[in-house]
Amino acid sequence: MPKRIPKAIGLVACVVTTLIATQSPAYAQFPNNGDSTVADNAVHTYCFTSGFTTDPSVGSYAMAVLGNTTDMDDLFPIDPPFCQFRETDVWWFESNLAAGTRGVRDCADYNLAASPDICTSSDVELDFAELDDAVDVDDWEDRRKTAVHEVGHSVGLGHDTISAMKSGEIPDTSLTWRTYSAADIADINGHY
Amino acid sequence: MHRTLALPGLIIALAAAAIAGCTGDSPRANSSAVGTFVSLTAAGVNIDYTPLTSPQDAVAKADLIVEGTLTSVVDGIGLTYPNPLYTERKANSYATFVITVDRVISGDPAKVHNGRVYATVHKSRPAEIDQLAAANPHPRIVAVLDDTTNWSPAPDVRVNRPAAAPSSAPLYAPYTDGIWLQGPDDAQMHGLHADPDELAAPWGRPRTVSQFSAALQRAA
Repeated sequence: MPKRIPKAIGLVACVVTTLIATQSPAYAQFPNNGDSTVADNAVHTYCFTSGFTTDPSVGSYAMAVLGNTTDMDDLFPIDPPFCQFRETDVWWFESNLAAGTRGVRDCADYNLAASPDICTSSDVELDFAELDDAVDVDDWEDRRKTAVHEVGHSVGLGHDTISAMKSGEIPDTSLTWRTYSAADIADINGHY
Repeated sequence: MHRTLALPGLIIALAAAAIAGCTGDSPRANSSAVGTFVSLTAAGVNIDYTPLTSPQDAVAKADLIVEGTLTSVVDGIGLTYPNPLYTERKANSYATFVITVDRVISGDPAKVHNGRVYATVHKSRPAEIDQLAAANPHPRIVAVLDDTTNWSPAPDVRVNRPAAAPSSAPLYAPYTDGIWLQGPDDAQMHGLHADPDELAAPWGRPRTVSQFSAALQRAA
């Protein structure tokens, strides 16, 4: 007859397991974006839609951050880089978004048969008016922070409070807010 | 740095793990009907937003703030771009929440159309409207709303109104941290794209729709 594990022992075991998990370098869930998806491979292609004209360098900057600080590569699919292929990993849009919205990453295509699920292509929309309408004047940094933030979501990252994955306006102009945390970089490099 | 747990944090983590993770009674309660509905609606959409810094800020910014019940989920707006590739790509991006209003917390009550408000939400592409409608547990809802009746994402993009919204009814969109849902079995409210912990200190740490509503009523 199987012995029942006392509830207290089970609880302790559960707590210990939880703590081990939370102390591990890879404790953070990955992927941890809104749909728990990853990109399809380590080459993250991107393109600009025709309206993305206010400051295209913001998009290039964010992709370069991904390419330069992780094992992933960023790549324009075509030259000129106008969006036409549905499978391009990131389509950059410039939009007047709903009130208070600075940027959106929205998965447009999935491969739900994969494990973990794959988002084969994301839309990233930026609202420059909202990004520039801040209480301070750090527009250059604010734009890039949100761009880096949304690209992070497209490869599987969730929110935190210590890097570009922080929500909202940057507290200062530190490069911290335009890059990924060491933990997130480790997660990216571990997966791709 | 954020992985280092000091003693107080350790104690809190122990308690939280014991109470939440190990008993299956997670404070996030995403296994509830409302949690499931929210996950289905919001999966795949990540939003970086400018927070509403306080109830007063919400009242000042919003065109309308209402409390009521999420009666139904119907088709959302459609976007027609000059480039048909973009139109095709953006299809199925929105749903409309129909809120039956019990209380107008702030704004002109005349903007409520026959007791209802129509709010556009950015939804997960794979989630069909029928699925969302079927999964709707008719939760209590508070919504801080911006009037988007004449909104367009870009000058050359046409917005097609949802057929289920009467032509004379205003269309609204909620602020990201201004829409909260809660069912009778939920210990706390759910946001579509925000978590209650993200609300700034002046909100007073509301955990329920009632608390969030009360904070707004005091500010209105």
